[in-house]
Amino acid sequence: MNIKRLVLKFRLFISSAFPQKEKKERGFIYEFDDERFKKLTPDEQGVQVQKNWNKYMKDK
Amino acid sequence: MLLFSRRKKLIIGGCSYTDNYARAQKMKEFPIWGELLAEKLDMDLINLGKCGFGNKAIYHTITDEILNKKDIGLVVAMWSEVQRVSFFTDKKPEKLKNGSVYHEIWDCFHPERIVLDADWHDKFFTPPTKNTKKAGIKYDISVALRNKFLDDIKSGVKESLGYMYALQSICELNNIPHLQIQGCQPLMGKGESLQSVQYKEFCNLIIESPYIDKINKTFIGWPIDPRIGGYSIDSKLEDKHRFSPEDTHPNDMGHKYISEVLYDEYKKISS
Repeated sequence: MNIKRLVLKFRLFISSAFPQKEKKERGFIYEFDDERFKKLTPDEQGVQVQKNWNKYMKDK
Repeated sequence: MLLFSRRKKLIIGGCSYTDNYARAQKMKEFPIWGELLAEKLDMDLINLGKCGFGNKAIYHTITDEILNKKDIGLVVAMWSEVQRVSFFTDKKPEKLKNGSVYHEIWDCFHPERIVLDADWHDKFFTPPTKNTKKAGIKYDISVALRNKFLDDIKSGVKESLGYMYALQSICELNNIPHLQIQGCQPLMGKGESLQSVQYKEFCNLIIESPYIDKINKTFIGWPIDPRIGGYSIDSKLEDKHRFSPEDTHPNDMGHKYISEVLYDEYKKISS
């Protein structure tokens, strides 16, 4: 193993001791994951999803 | 204007961080980093970036262009998530309802995201109604790839590093000034515990790859992850540089910042 690899391995080991910035996916998978959406009933959530889908298809 | 211009060309490629994301999302538009950089460098811009592009599509679109063009002043590749898959589809141009013409020859997607998104929508479809997200070729391919573990981090990293080194080599061979940088985060965002395990694997794959010593200073932020002293442009963006916590793409300030980073690096390689 060359020196560079050794240094980077050590650096990676040390970094595990420090918390890293979390970046949870918030794209379209969690697009309805907001408080207002959560408060809706499942039926109303379904309507919102359908509206979103229709809009997507229309735009496309 | 490009046809008769005597100015050198700035050729850029990438995903939504390079494409005009605001225009694609029908949001208020602003100058994107490619336009800002072209202005600073007094070059004509050829922007090959497309929202959703994977690294294979980014590599091929840039390579095809640089081998076909003369008077290239600078090439910039801004890489995407390593696990996105790209398929070349020689589709015919399609006229959309709004009158515009859609011509996409690359189909790219992230298999894990496609499957998770479809699964998440299950709750809105009561049998016998079928989940519309679980239909179509993208979903079928994504399920097949995931079932056979063909979309894992290892293969994504191996493939992407190969494209990065290949692009560097092609540019060097043709004496074309070039810069590379990781744009968005290289892996799909997850909760902290899973994320740290996956990024550790990502870092180890880079360290143990044959490219660790081969990628040179034209790759800004190499070796990509802050845990091993690198960075992506996304990791440098602050909250003020993003649209919102939900949509973390760079906003107008973000694009301005990216153009400044690239301009500073260009000055270093050209001096």
